[in-house]
Amino acid sequence: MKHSADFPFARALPDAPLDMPKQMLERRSLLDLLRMTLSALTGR
Amino acid sequence: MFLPAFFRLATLSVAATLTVLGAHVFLRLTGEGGLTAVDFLRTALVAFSGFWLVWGSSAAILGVFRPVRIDTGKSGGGPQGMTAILVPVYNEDPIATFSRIAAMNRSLVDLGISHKFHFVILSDTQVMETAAQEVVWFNRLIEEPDAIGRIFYRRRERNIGRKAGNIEDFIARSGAAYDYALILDADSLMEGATIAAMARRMDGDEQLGLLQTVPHVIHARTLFGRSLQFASTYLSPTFARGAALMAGNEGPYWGHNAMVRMRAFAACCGLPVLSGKPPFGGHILSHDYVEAALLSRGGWKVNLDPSMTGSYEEGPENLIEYAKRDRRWCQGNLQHARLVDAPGLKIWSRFTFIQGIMAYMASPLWLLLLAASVIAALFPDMPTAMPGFVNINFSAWTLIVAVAVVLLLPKFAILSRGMFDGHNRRFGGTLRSLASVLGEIVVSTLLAPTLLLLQSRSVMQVLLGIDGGWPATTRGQNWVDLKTAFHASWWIVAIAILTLGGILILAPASAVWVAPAMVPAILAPFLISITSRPTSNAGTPLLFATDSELSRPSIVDAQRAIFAAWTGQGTQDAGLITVRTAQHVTA
Repeated sequence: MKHSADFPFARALPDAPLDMPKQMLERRSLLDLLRMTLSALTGR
Repeated sequence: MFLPAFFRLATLSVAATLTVLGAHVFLRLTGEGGLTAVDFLRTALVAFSGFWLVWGSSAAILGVFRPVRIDTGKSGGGPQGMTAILVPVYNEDPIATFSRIAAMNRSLVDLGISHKFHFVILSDTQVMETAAQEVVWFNRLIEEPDAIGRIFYRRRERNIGRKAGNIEDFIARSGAAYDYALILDADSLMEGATIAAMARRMDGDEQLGLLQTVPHVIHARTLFGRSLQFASTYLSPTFARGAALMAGNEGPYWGHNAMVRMRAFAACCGLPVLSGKPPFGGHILSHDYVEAALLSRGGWKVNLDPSMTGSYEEGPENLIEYAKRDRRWCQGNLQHARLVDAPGLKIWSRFTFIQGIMAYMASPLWLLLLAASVIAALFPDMPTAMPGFVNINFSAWTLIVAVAVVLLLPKFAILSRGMFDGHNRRFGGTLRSLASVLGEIVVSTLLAPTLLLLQSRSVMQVLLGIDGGWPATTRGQNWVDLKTAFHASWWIVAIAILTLGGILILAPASAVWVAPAMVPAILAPFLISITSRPTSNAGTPLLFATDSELSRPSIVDAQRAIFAAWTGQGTQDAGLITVRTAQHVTA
């Protein structure tokens, strides 16, 4: 996300990534939990 | 934590008691001679809608009794942490937006603390001509003092996740370079001293995740805009003081003119895309309320501070622009119904979601009450479900007066307090403030039925699954001619004529109750057009004068001067500016 070379601008934005993990906002149904558990157990 | 809990409980008790009392009075009035099913429905609607009216007024009364503290931010040294001042833009006028940035930058440079603040313009502009203009005016902006290496611009080709996605994109790429982020809107303007004071507050309290100011509306020119501007500057701070007392450390976030702690915001506020399609699924529209709830869930303080001055924004200048913004907010707030039971949220955050939903659901509920009352008037001989009350020794006017008191008491309480604490003096004296308060009551009362119908339509559209999208805000659009106003509100006129006409023919005795709502609705096109007329340019108008008009803040003067200089130069020396095409806009 830097400015192009001919952009009259001395310094681009700092390259300093900060992780922004997605938050859980929706409650999972029992079926979802079962599916996730099975996926974890089968490694898929 | 004890104090907010006490104030919440006290306000809830007052609101619940008055609601039960009001519902009882209504039931007695309607149930003379026998109670029908419609009477029970109407009473339930009165209780449900009335509760939120009383709740809002109680919060304001709470604010009237809270001591006022003014924090201009002028005392204190420079902040320790680095702050990124984020200005998300979406098809906005770049000259107006960038002149505000220039004014805020000069204010920070004058204070000698500019090295602690970077400005980042986060463009989501999709109109290529506007994007090209942004680059042209960015060239001008970086000629400002200390701008090189401190003022940045980047544009996304695709505005994924809208404003929340825009900010998230910045944090994911550059967030770790900053301690705090001051999040602004394109029309935000803040004094350098206020920005510095906010950063110092963040420095001094490591648990503070978000600090929200109460922005005052400026630059309004029409009757509608000035009425809104007066309400935002004269009345809103008191309402906010009451709300802040109840919220405590679980305060609101309004999406702009607020500072966040970068690592707290990054850790807690990555918004997921909700399952399902818009309007209830997809990207979260009213992201600010959700982000405040998530920060609270993460254990961070979210504080609203109405005492901080020097925070400004602009508002809609006519009812059509207001309704456009309101449609967006309506969809966003109703979407929160999906999040009320989100895991781990604080109870107050859940209540705030419900409050936001009710702010819009109240309109169709009042409309339903009106419709039920019309039905009750048209069919007076409906079968009764229960024996009614006898010996009713008060009239329906008792209830009307009670509703009027609930609605007007906070405004007059603010006026009364203003006589003693200097508030009225800043607005031109008590007489002038009284005239403006009365004027605001007249304007808001006349426009209330139109807004009620517009909001009811918005709610119905959302409930029917119609996505309103994200239309760009049209700033500086003032006068609405009668033809445009009629085009936007003909259906309101039609509903009002049919309702009032039907009542006059079938139950003329009840017309007196329906007319106060229906006559202003019939006049909707005229009211929309008349209130959108710009007021005289000669001096500050007598009505709706605000403190920032009577004693203009330095930042407002600075921005006006920069804007005038830029636009003057832009026409005279156009040859000096390299007009770049869209290919120079990096994405």
